[in-house]
Amino acid sequence: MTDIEERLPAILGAEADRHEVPVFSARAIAENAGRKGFRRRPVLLLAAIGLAGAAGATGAVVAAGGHGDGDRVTVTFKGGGIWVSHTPPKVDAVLSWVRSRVRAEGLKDVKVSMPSQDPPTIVVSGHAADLPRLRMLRLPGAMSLIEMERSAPADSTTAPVMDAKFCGGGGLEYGITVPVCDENGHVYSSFIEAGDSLHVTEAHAEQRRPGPGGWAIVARLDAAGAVRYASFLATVAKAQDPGEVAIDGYPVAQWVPGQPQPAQTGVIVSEPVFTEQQAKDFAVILTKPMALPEWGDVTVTVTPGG
Amino acid sequence: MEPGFAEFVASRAAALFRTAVLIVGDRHAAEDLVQSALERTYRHWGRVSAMETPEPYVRRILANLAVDHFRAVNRRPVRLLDHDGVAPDHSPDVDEHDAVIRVLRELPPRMRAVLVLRYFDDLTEAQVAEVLGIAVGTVKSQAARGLAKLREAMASQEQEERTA
Repeated sequence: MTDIEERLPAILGAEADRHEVPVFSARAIAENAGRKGFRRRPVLLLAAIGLAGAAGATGAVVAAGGHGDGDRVTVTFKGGGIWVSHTPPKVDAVLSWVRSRVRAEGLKDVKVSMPSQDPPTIVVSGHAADLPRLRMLRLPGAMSLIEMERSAPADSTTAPVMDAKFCGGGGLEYGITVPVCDENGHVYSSFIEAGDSLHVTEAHAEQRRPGPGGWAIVARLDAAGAVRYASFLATVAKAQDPGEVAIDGYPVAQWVPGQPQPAQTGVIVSEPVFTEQQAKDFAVILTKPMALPEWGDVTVTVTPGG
Repeated sequence: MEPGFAEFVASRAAALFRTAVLIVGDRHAAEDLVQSALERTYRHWGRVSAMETPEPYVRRILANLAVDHFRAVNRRPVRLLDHDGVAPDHSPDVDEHDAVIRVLRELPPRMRAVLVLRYFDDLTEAQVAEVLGIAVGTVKSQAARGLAKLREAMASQEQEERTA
């Protein structure tokens, strides 16, 4: 048998060939890039790297400003019509859940409707530039435990420091490694390693600090999650790299070695850097989406306009 | 439009899409990710175009977007062979192909990204480490663990063929 290492390139090549390559328009990309002059959830990232408050006392999610009105798309989620419970959820409850998801995503100018309960169908429309996030609106939030790995620059003779600060570089960008600097100006890359998402059994918002931006998300984990969380805290306490808790990949709570650890009861408390609405929205999307129908096989359709 | 960007998109977008679709396993998600990666690239094109080879920068954004995509949506398994139905399967052994791809899609997203970048894009371990922003040692260990799982899948497939 030829070893997989030798055969894998051909297998991957054949698999890639099975997908038709779309046409990418440089002009459209450039136009979208110009319109999308926003940074996704900078407050959360700032919180993760110790700069909470620098983005404004309210901690408000930055709006996706600058969109035009002519570039909208409509995304339709149509389920297979199979209900686990015999009682379909109320339309208002479903729409309320999706709207919480919209706010938690920081999306603007989104319209949500539910034209049919059987088969379950939700229609959302928004800016074409937001399409990847519009596609996610039917999914619950995922809470993950993250171990950060900070590597020193090649020309540095010092070890990475734990209180390194965000230092700009290409700017805060969703999806790329966050650059941080120490007090000497050395730039470190921070890579996040996340495990499977945790099962949150209950979540709610609590004001933990005075002021409109002092709200935290309190999430209770199931038994398996509590064990993983306790193990994670123990690892963080020993490791040289910090650990974080994230929702959909975005840090909401940070622990670094030497910091007092929270009680290991399976309850995660985020940093109190959210507005009341933000904390409530995150709490809603973290819990099992009781308002949402069991979808079965979902068909997702994207059409222009909306 | 910034000079040189159209040429870059024309020459490299297809390759970026093929990498993305192997990592995320879904054509539409891959298209969105490439679109997002190129938009972010364009916002820094003045700096990126000055690089000797801009592609690693874009590939880095794309790979991290793809890994993050799965962190967000990995509660639903990706359907095997969810293709466009346009191109035929050129694999000489469809069963083996399907078994390997099935296991590949069950791997953790970063491990899958390591294998795709290493064995499809033919990057060196150091280049994979650079693209994903991880240590070379991590690339080695992730690749070894991923290959071991794929090897098991192939062995099981061969066993099934012998007993059939």
